[in-house]
Amino acid sequence: MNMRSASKFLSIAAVLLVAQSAVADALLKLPNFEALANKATKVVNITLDANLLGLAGRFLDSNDPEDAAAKELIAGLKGVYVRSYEFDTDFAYPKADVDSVRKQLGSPGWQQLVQVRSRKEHQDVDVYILIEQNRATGLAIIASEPREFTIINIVGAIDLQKLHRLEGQFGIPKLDLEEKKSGK
Amino acid sequence: MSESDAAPRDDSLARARDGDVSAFAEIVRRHQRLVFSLGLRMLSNRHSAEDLAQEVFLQLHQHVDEIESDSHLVFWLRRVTAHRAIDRLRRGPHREVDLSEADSVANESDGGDPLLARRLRNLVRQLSPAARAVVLLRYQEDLDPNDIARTLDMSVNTVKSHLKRSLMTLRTRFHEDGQIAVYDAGTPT
Amino acid sequence: MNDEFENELKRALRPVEPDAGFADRVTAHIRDSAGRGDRIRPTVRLRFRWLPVALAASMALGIVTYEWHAHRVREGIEARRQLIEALRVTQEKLDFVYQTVKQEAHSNDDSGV
Repeated sequence: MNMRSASKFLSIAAVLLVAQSAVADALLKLPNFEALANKATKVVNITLDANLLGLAGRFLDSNDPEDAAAKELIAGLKGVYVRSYEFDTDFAYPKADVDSVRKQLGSPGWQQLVQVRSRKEHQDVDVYILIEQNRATGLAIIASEPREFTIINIVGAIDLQKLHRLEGQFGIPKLDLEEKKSGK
Repeated sequence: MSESDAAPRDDSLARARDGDVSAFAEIVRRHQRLVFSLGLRMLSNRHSAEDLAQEVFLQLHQHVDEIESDSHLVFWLRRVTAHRAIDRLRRGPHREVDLSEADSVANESDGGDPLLARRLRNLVRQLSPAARAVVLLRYQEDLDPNDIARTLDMSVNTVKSHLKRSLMTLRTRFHEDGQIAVYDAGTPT
Repeated sequence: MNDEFENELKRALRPVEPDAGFADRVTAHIRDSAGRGDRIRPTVRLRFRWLPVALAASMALGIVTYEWHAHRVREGIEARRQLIEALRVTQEKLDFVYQTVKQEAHSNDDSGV
């Protein structure tokens, strides 16, 4: 192998390494919450890697608005992971585990989009996105309440506009952010 | 329990399976209110609702051999009616809703406020097809979330989410018209 | 737990009857389609005579293929269901964020911020 080829090879390897590590960064290391399932009143545990997303996509009906919206959204995705647990007593889940996920979001590339602390609803929600070359390639949502926590990790090219356009689907009412204030 | 569930049991189902059309007609008369009303509240049009109800009963006639019991029959009717109505709504375009047509017989007196009832029905019409079906199965048919989930092939969580959000939307819109919008998280059912 | 609003909703959505003669129209349609009297269930008889071994083998293969396909279909349906559920949960949380941000923006407007 001559110098030119070697240099080209190294450049390609470097790009691949960066691409690989970008995927790895977008994919969070989620703790194993299986032990909590016994004491939880409601569990949503979803792991959809690229293969399963592809399979799910084949069973989405393009003629159905809900399915069509989902199909459009998952087109660039590599994984969707949800861990959501509800309990009937306060703080029955290990806060440290949820915090360990938050810590990963301090890594380079992850940016906090929104932080909500609601005293009324007793709910904290943090939304993070991973930006790579001016594109969102990862989304993380961590929501915690005294009796519930939810961790959502979406890996791949996320179109936040399309995600926003999902409102009105899946039982979520349309929220008109531009609506005028009601008269008082 | 709905009127259909409480209907006295007889052998009309067995006779209908045997090919007795008059027995099948008894079944239609017993359950037409359930099927027609679901169709009407979903499609907001009496003509479309009757059309849908006819389709459902004709389909039932073709599959009556598969019906095992009266309760299975009611489950089957709710399921097929809801799915067909959702399909119709999603296919679109729909006929323009004629409110007087949709509500023409709705004023059977039960001591309630007919204007309030009409307003609520209008608000329910604004829900998405799936959410509308969930609300109807809950408040017209008095089903619990587990039964609604089985009827609509949804997860129970999705049903509860639809109910929670739909109630919130209905309450909020009901209280609008010059008043402050009230966001009530509502009680999960 | 029902409150007054839900009671009114129940009342508004009480079932109503179709126009008179609905059942007769349905049965008329059935009779028209059949073109004969009351007993209109078609009879279907299945006759199995003699199954050659090759036919039995191809049926077995067909059953295996069908089972694999059916399994794949079940997997796909389950994957779709999980995807819809995941997107619903995601939207629920984002919806909460949007609402909170919106309410904050409105109260800031009110206080002249």
